[in-house]
Amino acid sequence: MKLRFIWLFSLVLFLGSCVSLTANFSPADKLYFQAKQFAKEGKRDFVFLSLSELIREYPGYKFIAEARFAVGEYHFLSGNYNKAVNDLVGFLKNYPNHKGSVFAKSFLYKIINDNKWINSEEAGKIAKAIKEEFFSTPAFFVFSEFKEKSLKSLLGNSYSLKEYVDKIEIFANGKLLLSVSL
Amino acid sequence: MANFYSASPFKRLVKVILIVVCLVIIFDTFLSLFLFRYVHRVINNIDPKLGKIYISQVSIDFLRGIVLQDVSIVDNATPPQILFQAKKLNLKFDPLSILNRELNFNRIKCVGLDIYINKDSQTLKKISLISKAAYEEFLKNQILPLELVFKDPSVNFISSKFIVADFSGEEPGIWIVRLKGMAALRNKKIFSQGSVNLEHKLSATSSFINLFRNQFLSQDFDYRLIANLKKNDFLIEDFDIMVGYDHIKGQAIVSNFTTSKPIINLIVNTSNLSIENITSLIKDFDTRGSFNLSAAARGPLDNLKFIITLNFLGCTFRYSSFPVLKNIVGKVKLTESALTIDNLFLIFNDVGLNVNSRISQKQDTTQISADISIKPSQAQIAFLPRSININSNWQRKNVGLGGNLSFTYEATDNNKYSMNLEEVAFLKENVGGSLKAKKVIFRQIPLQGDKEKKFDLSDFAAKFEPKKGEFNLSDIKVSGFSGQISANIYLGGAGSYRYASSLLAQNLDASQIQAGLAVPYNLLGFIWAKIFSSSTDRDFTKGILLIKKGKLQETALLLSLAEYLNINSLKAIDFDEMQLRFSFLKNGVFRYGLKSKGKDVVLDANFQIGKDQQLSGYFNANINHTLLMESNKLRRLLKMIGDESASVDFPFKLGGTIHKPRLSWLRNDFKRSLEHVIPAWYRQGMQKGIDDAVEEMFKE
Repeated sequence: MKLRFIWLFSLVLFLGSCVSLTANFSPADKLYFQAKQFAKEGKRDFVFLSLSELIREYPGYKFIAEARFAVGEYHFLSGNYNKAVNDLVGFLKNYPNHKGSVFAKSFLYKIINDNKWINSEEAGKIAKAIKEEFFSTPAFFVFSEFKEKSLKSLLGNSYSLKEYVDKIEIFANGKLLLSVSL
Repeated sequence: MANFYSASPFKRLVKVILIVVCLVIIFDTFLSLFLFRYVHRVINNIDPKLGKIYISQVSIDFLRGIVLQDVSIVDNATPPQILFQAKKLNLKFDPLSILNRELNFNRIKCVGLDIYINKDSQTLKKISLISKAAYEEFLKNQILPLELVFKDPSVNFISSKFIVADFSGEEPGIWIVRLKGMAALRNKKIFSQGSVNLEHKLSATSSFINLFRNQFLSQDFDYRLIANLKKNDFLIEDFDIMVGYDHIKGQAIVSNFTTSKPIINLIVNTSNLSIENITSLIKDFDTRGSFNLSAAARGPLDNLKFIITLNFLGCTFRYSSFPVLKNIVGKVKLTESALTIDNLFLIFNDVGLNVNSRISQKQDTTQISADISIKPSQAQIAFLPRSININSNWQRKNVGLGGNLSFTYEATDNNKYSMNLEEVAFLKENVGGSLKAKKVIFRQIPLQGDKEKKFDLSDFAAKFEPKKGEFNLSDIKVSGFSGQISANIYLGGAGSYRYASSLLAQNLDASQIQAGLAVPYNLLGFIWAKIFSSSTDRDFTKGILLIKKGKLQETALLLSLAEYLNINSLKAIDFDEMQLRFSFLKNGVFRYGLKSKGKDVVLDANFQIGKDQQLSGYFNANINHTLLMESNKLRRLLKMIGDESASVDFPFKLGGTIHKPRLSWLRNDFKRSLEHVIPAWYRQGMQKGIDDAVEEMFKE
């Protein structure tokens, strides 16, 4: 009897906490988790729709930087380069120190380098500035040949960046996306 | 009589004509004889103050008038000088005027007329003797049967020259004014038109400006002039010089023109003058575009105050093998004592230049100042300076010129460099000249931050030799830093602009040089250097520096190595010989090769600095085993891997930029042995520690 009571009490506590957890999710949280779920299922377009709604409806949300990066990334991967440039530049202006900023710059550099953005004058200046920034940190590689940074985006992609003495390599899901040399 | 009337009408006509002809001949013969005597009497009675008159032949008839062949007037000086000469003077007169006891000359034709005026001599006074006042005086003193009258005469000039010799000024030479045309007096007004051409023959070497001016004036300019005589004043009511379809117009008053000191008051104005119309300039100088000209002059001939303003409106100018000057826009002002260039913009050799300059003369001192702002294109930005400023004062000395010269150069690396030459002596030679200065002060003026640094040099000497399209500055020598520097510079060339220079430095004390550097390289020793520069080579500046018995101390690279390896002795390393080869490429890339041999450390580096200060290359530090043993850390590691070699190589790959360098320690036997001994987690920890240290070191 005693044991049954303990089991019952535990069940009540568990269900109660579940109810309170469910009750604490805000609409923004719901959209965010929904986007993550779509990403897990590989539904990239639905992720974009959820995140677009999140940005539109809840611009002050705590993960809004990640969401804005992912929207720019979505346009980049979908080949909507003009929209990608707008979103990525907006992201870099608002979150210059975010860990995704170096990857946003990589996308921009690739768009410009592959001549996908027709604004030659501004594009040249941006590409030059990005390249300078890539090599703007000093380094002394003693027992490793490179320094590595990584990021998992809301679209579910894994990015990594390797900084060598004379080049930068950016990988997307293990595949080389971009290589920039001095 | 009967015979005469009985003859046929034709015969009667012939007889009349014959009688008339005979009468004319008789009249002409009498007139000629009379005038012949008269002319000789005039010539013989000319005031001896004017000089002697020579005429090879005089012929007179009433159809052609008085014709004087090979006329010349020679003055009384020793040796005698020709004042006036003409191949032929034809003075046509009105025969009927003789009836009124007058000889009215109404047409004068001058062929091969040359009038010589020497500004040094009293020629002007002598010329004034044949002026109106002197002529009246002449008539008073002569008892002649006929009065000489010039009633509304016209004068034709054929191949006439006015030759003005001026040996009094700083630019001795001879002006030749060639005149072809006519002048006529009608209703007390002088009308003249024809063509005029000016030439300046220099007795000394010709400057570029003189060459340009002479070229400009060598063209025949058509002119038209209306003037008036009022007592002693000569009023040019309107003159018009035609330059192609364009006109130079103006007015002038020559007051007291009959005296030896006439006073001139002149105003000239033009609308836009198209240079294409000045054929003389197009021929050799290949000039294009247009300009405005305004001029005013006032005063006596020997002290004429004038101002000439040229306003260039986008001109192009090319001379010989020099690069073309394009888009010339701005003002050039010339007065009797100064030449001012006011905000003149031009493109020289594809480089934009903004020039402000003034050359002025005050008593015996010439002041020269020039400010040149340079606007290089993106491709030239790496190696062209931003501005050049020149200031100098010159005084005429017994032999040549003496003065001082300062030269300021705003370089590309945010520094200004100035060179002051004191107690300068300039000696003009047959071709070119030589320059000597007792003291030369060379300054490096940082535009921000660090304080000014300066080098004192002495006994500067150089020779220069300008040729057409070329300029040689040779045998440049200067003493300083306990050593000697010599150099040669060549500018010019055929076809396109080029330059070449060489510099040789011997036994310079590095400590003295670095004492004057804004960013000291902490280098001791004695330097020998050879540097060559040529505009035609891809690596347009290259050289080799040899430093003997030196010391390299506390450079950022050495300090970080010493810090990392924990070897204090590495902070300053002695070397027996260091060799630095360098070249500076036209695309803005610097290439270096460095070799340094010392007892403890041997450095070998090959690297380059790109146009955005990108660093790339390799360097190897071979460090003596004894020195490595100074570090506890390394001593343990060396023991662990059992390395007992005499020295160890530390090869590095270089990257990043010159201000934010990246170094990667390359794998070799020593590093492989270490990696074998040191566990991975420890290596990762070491790398993390180094990353933090580097971040801290370069924190802004």
